[in-house]
Amino acid sequence: MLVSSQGTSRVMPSVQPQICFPARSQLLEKIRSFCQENLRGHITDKGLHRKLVLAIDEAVANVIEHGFKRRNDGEETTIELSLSVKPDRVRVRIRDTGLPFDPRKRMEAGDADLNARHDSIPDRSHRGYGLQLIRLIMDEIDYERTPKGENILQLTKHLKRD
Amino acid sequence: MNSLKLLIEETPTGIVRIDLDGFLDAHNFEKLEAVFEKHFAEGHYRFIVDVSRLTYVSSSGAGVFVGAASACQDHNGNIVLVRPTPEVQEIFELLGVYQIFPVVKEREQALAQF
Repeated sequence: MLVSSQGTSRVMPSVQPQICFPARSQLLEKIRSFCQENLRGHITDKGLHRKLVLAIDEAVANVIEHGFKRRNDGEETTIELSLSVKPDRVRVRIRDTGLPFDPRKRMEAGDADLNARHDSIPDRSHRGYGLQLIRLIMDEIDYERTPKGENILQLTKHLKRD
Repeated sequence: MNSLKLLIEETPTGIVRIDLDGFLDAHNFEKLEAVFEKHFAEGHYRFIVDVSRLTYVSSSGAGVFVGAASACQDHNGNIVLVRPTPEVQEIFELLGVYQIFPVVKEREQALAQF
């Protein structure tokens, strides 16, 4: 079940829509739709809009993959996704109770490959592309493992004022 | 739920045509991966993939294409992409792998790439 709420109207200068959903990959399509709808109207640049949805999709997919599939204890937990849209930035907050997973550490390991532009296929290891995309698209990536056993991943994109 | 539809056809010359319709994400990428694996097992390494109706690709989907292209090129084959949408082209370019795929605008031009 998807539960969403939207704090304020789109005409207001900022909104904070939120959605809670089980950690299941088959819900990714609905999560993308949620992001598309809630970013539309605030992000007029279609390319940026697409990239933001992509980055959020990748982040949620990573949480499901690393936080829950590997846990393998049968427990199904919810993930909470919040969007905070202001004129000067978009902030995405993903909260879950899966296994600890700091994507920044994984990103550092992939730096060398990220900086390369390939004329031929470098290797067959194509895992980690999602983290690379998040890093390419978003400006700030923060992660915290709380004492309560929650992962909080926060992604920020600064917006240019018109 | 609208997900990913695949239409697969093998030509008499052993080239495999795959038409993709829908989206390719972390939930359904294994569907396409399985198709490539099946044909690799049969010794097919030349593919024409029509992506003109692929509306969205995440990194999982892009990874399938990159991994499969690597296997194909190791066997003197390749994957030719037909008419990528701006969304598909964008993610491949972001990852810096767009140039490893021959790209054509029309299906009829694809055969000339082999």
